[in-house]
Amino acid sequence: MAKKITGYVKLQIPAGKATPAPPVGPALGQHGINIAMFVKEFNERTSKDVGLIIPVIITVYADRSYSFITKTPPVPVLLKKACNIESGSGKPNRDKVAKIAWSEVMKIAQTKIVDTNASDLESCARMVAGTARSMGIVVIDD
Amino acid sequence: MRWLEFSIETTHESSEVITDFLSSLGADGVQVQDAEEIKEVLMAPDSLTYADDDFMDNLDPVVKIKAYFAQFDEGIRRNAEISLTNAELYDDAPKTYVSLNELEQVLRNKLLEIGEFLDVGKGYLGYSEVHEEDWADGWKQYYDTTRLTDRLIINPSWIEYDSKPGEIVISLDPGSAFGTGTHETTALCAEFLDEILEPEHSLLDLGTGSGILAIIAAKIGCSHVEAIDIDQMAVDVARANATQNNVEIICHSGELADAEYKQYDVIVANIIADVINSLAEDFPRYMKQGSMLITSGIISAKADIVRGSLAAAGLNLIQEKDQNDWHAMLWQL
Repeated sequence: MAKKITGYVKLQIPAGKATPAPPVGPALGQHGINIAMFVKEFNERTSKDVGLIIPVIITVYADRSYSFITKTPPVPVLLKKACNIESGSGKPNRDKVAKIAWSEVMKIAQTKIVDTNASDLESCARMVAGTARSMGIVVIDD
Repeated sequence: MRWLEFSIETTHESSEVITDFLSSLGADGVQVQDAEEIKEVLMAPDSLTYADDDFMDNLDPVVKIKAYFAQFDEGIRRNAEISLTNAELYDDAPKTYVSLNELEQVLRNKLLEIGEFLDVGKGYLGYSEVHEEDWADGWKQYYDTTRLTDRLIINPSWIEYDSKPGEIVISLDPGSAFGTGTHETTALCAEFLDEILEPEHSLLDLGTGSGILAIIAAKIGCSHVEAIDIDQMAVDVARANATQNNVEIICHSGELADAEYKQYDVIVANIIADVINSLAEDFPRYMKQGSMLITSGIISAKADIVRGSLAAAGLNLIQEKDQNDWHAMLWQL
């Protein structure tokens, strides 16, 4: 079908446990999307990831039908996993909680690139490094 | 139940670190409006999604985040300190209650800290209250019974419709596959089908979406109705919709090359101009002398290219319909 786009929404919601409460209801309701069906489909497709926050992009078409894709976890979650830490620093400018090698940063950027169809690996890596620093993770050269 | 909606304006580079913080803080969920995200969807190599210039021109480069916190008599519910930035524990994290001022202060401080490393943009703008609404059913107000032609009616399952003699009523709820009957591309195909289909015809619906066109064909009485979509989700939806309408349709995922039968009386391809062009030479191989092909999903700017490619493939243009910049064409071999 010729899917003419009229809107989009990105949400970060708990896998397998979405409900029509905010943000789902207000975000999708304004587009006239079948919310009960979205909630059911999202929960089915993400049931194996319960406990994780999943980013999901919902595309809304001209006849108010929709499609959605779930994305890889956000960069901070990938960084915490790579550094094996549970949380970032409460004071990232003063207290450093971990170190990460530039090669690891590139690996995360590579994951993101595949996920987003972006083409510029360098700028993606710079964003990942900036995110790491904002969490109190020191980026070191290999 | 009440929620506080926190609004933040930021940039693409800071978006994820801010939303991760909000989630770990205990937001019930986060909504992000980031034009980069939808551009990625549109630019995906196999994307069948189409955006017009108006839509692209109106994309806001500023990233807007909304985070929702549940509000109770004790205060605003947030995750306890222990899991402050541990998004993975978010769901089962112990909860604590804080005042609005405290929560705003925590957020402001965090944005300042992130701002030392990344461009956070304007940052925190303020909050508003959101009251419980009937979100689960509120969207239904946008749908009503739709009459596609004199005898073809699309009716949502929650509306009672008294059909008159001769009317064909298709029960269809909007959902995650294109084709609710309200869009021009679908409606134009339905008109053609109503005019040309005979009960003994075999039909292929290529890019079936919700299955609406295949269901119409089956309801008219076509003998062999096959529905194909590249998207498995759409196939599942089409199959469920066929069952809901008590009709038999062969639904499977794939492309034109995966069609079971080789000599359809009618093929309907409501896709997009580029895909129709790429298939132009292949269509005749799935038709016999006198077979009809309906092509739809074609914007005015691309209509000429489609006319050219299908004519070059040996098809004759019988009739063309258009509505609001969308063209549908009826071809015969």
